[in-house]
Amino acid sequence: MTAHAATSVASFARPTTVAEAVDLKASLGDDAVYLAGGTDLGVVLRRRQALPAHLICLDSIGEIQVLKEESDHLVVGAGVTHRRIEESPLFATALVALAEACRTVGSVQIRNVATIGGNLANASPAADVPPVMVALGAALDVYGPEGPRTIDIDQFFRGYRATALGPAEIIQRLRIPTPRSNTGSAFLKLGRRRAMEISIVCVGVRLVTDNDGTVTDAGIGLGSVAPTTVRAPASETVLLGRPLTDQLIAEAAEAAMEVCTPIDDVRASAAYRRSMVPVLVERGIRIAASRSRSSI
Amino acid sequence: MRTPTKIVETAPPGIIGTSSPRLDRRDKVAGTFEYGADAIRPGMLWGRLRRSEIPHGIIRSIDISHAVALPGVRSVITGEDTVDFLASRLIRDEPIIAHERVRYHGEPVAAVAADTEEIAEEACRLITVEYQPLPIIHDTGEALADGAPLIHPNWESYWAAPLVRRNGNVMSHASLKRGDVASAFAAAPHVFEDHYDVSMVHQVSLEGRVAIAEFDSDGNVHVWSSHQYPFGLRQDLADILHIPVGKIRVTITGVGGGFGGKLYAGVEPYCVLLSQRTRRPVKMRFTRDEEMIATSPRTGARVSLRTAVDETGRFLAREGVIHYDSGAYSASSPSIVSVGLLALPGPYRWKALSIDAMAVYTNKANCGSYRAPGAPQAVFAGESQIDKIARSLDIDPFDLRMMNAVEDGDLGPTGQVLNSVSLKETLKVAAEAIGWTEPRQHGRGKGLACSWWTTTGGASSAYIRLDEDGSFVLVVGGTEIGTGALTAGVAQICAGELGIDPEELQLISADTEVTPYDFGAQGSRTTVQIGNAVIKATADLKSQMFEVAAGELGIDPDRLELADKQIRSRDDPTRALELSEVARLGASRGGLLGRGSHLQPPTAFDEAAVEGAVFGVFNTPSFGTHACEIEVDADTGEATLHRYLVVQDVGKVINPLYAKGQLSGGAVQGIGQALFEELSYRDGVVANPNLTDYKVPTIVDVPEVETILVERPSPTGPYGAKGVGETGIIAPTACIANGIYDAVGVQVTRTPLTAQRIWEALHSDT
Amino acid sequence: MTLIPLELRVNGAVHQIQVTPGAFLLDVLRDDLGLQGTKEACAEGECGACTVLIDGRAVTSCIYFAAQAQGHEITTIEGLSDDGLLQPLQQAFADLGAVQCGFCTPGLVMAATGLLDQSPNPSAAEVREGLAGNLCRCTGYGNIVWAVLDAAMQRGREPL
Repeated sequence: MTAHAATSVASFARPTTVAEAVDLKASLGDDAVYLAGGTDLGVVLRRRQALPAHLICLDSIGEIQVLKEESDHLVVGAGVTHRRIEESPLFATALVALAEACRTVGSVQIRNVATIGGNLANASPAADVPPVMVALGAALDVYGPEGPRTIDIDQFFRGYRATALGPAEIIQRLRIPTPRSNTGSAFLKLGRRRAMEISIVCVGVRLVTDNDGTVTDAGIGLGSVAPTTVRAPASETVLLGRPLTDQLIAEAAEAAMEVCTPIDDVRASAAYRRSMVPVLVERGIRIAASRSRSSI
Repeated sequence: MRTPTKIVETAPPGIIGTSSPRLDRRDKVAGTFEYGADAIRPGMLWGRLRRSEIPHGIIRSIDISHAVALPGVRSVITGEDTVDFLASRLIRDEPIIAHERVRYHGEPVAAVAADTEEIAEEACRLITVEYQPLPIIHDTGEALADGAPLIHPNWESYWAAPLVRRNGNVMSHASLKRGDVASAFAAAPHVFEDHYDVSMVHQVSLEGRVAIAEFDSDGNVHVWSSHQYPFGLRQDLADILHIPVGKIRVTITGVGGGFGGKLYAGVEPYCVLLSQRTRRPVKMRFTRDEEMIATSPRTGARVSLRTAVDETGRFLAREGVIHYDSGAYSASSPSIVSVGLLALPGPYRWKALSIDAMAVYTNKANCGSYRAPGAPQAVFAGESQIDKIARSLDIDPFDLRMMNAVEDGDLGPTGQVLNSVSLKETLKVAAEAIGWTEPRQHGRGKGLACSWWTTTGGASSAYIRLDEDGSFVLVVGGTEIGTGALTAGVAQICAGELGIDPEELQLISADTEVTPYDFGAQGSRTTVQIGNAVIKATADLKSQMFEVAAGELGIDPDRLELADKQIRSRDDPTRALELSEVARLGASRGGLLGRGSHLQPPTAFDEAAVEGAVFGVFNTPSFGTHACEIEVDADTGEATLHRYLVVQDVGKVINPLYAKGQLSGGAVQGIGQALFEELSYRDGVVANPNLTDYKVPTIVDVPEVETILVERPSPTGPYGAKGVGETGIIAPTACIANGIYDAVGVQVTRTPLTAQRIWEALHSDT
Repeated sequence: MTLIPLELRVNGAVHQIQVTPGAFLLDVLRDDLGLQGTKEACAEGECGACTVLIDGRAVTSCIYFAAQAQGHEITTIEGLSDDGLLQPLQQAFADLGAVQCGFCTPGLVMAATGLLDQSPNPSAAEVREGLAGNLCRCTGYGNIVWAVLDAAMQRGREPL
């Protein structure tokens, strides 16, 4: 473990626009890394798991700090901190799962600094926020040397800690479809401790129900059960267009197993994870459903 | 010198039993308290260790040339330079830098001193080592198997204390045999046999090990260290480095946690060696990952026990074997096995006992002392099995314990006569407080566990000086490691005996050059043993002050008293001298200095029954019962601890706030061991050497620990006090396991009791 | 290694310093500015011993770059007590048994200050949630919660 400084770093830049940041990264190449909040990168550098020569700090870029409601989307700038999401009224009701997920990330100290964009770009398969973004059907507006483009969340996670971002591309903002009425969401996480925890299994669920309890839309995302965050389309299909019953919920929960390829690691065994997926998915569906009925 | 009154008869001053504020609190909350981590010496260099990348192997070659050539590097040493420098106190088996062979992942293979810590670190990276790997001994099973390779092929040639019984991979073997175990088992209507596994855990003091060493031109070395036992460290350095002890001075800095982990030499030998070679002060500290892989964790253990019980539930005999997984070198493990003999039978009556406790070498970091070393492992097994016995025989676990609990006059496991026994009282108080007989809420259970513990003896001394202005200076060799034992407890005792406010007392401690000997902040001893010494010292000082004042006032010294900061006549308080005046008078005879020392006489026991044990009794034993209420989610195995309660007999409470603080802190560490913590070794390498993956309980993981103090005075402690510091950590693993058992009917026999393990126990009906 | 110039505003004072570009704020505070009240215990943002306030919000300074801190107000434990007078939070910690070895104390006091500044009247559960990023190995946490609640009350009584 390194004392005092990331000694490989020879320069620290603080661009004020996305374009400036991307130009800088493109010119410096692989020796440069983007620094958002630094809560993941700081640990990586402390452990000397990477030795970049240049840090490009994104915290002075105003355009990625936006957090607002537009006509059919909620816009979350990539630089928005987890803490701002927790405290925002935009995520207090229908989309509360995102606030719930944010609240379990590290500590208040971490969340005061750690950014949503950084969380997604880091692409840890155990991360808490990505499964909720999957459930919410988010889209990512990214910017690179070729200009802007949009990546759907379903296309974003490519492999273990690998994303669809090109070499110099950064996430500018996330767009979450404005929730319809009767939307409810939930986030659940299993861990050894109640705080400061990397999940053993985590689940994000979004349900839209109509007045007789039929599911009209569903999104289910899972973490810590595969090399990437995964969506459970089979579970969603089971639920769609049908009234929620205990039987249906159990069926949907079991169907989630289809996308799970968990491993043994220092936190838990694969077998235990496999057994926990249906339990958490079932609970997530129930909570989301109950919230959808009481949403405005 | 007048003979001071017998300690136990001294009526406690009014301050005893109050939550008098600790003397070091202001600096700590202001951030101005200086710890070892903060200490700086002008011109100092930084040291770093290059550590082994493999768990077991022969060192074929080591190339330090690139490190030596790095600008800013001032010294590089390897095992070649330290061949004769061997630790530890009971078995000299540990080279301070590996020579020829490495026995654990992270073992030091070189040490570097450089201008900055970054340069020292870089230099370590430039040292290349070639190994010939050897088969890894992963656990005690492998170490004890027939034909297992010896981790110490030359073990017979090591110096060892005569009491230590060792053989190959068995580092130390203590045994207890009393009564006729075979007959007892043969005749018993019920015999229970069970096995328990306890994980290796780490103290995780927030301040890691850190020290500075500096030589003067006469070859004297001054060591500043965050350490618990300055006199022990001084002797360790003398023994290891072959420096005359008189040329070594140890001053303890502020200590940011110790818990037993800072009782032995850690960074200090390297600081001294590097300072000697560079002729500059050298500071070294261990980073968190070094702490987790290479500094004296608690031994893991496998405990096997057979217990014979009669029809009514009375305990007849226990046969137990503890294998303590002790890592690559001995450190304190040879004394830890003694604890097993006493902790496994527990505070219960037995007709016959056969206990074997073995510390076993494995290719892991050498384990050491951590709060009540050796006890949580044994008690997890013993107390878990008691609940199993209870449920098998359809006896309430509370009743079963009450039926078998020791009382005054009973003999302990090794035959010591027990006095001031309070176990039943603590059991009753705990059961009542937790609502033991109330029906359980759905999914919830309650657990009980009992334990007993020692108040370690060892010598303590105190000087108490009357300063010229009439103030008092207390000089003790003990160490304040955060418990408040010195800055609250001892200061309170001293202030009470002198009739002053503790804030008016100046306290000087833990410097081998100026403070008298003390056996260290260990074994829950500090307040008790230093307290005893202080009472003697203040009595001595009073008699000197009375003598001086008697001459001046023309009054018989027997008719004088110390009150309101005066020496005055008992019969006529107007005939008085201010203390500053007494000091002035005393100056002409060299000043007034009271002196007291205390060494608790040994407790008798049945020595023929014990073999290979460094100690055979729990001195001035204390007793406690823990209780908990826990909820288990049967679908996930997650356990939620709703209530945790500690009832502890402290003999006589000196400072309730800090006594309870010890119980609360110890219990939370115990809860950590029970539910969250384990050093996970994979192929001889610690897989979680950081605080991200090693799960210390956070503030949201534990309820507020409820603490109830019981007072059953001891005949040997100041005002009847007993040691408190370690006790809280012993019972939680068993208490929580028993609560889970009560909640969901399965017994988890391996710690930590994670959701996964609980779930697996619930679903293992195949 | 070329040093970079930084202007850091710490406890109301401006410091012009030269640091290595990859220097972490914790180490700059301790080694370059001599403010040793903030501690290192894990060096990975897991234990909170290094907590300082950045614009009034608690941050673990061990994984926060010094260069990131430029342009913000940094408050350390040394910046809390005015002229040696302890804040209610510090006094409560001192008086209510929330300090044993004290190594976690500066970080905890800073985290609790951030908490009370944002949420002046927290419940015990909210105090616990807010301090989940601060490890204490000595006290068992109970007295820490009481100290924060007590300080909240004291702060509520202070004249504005």
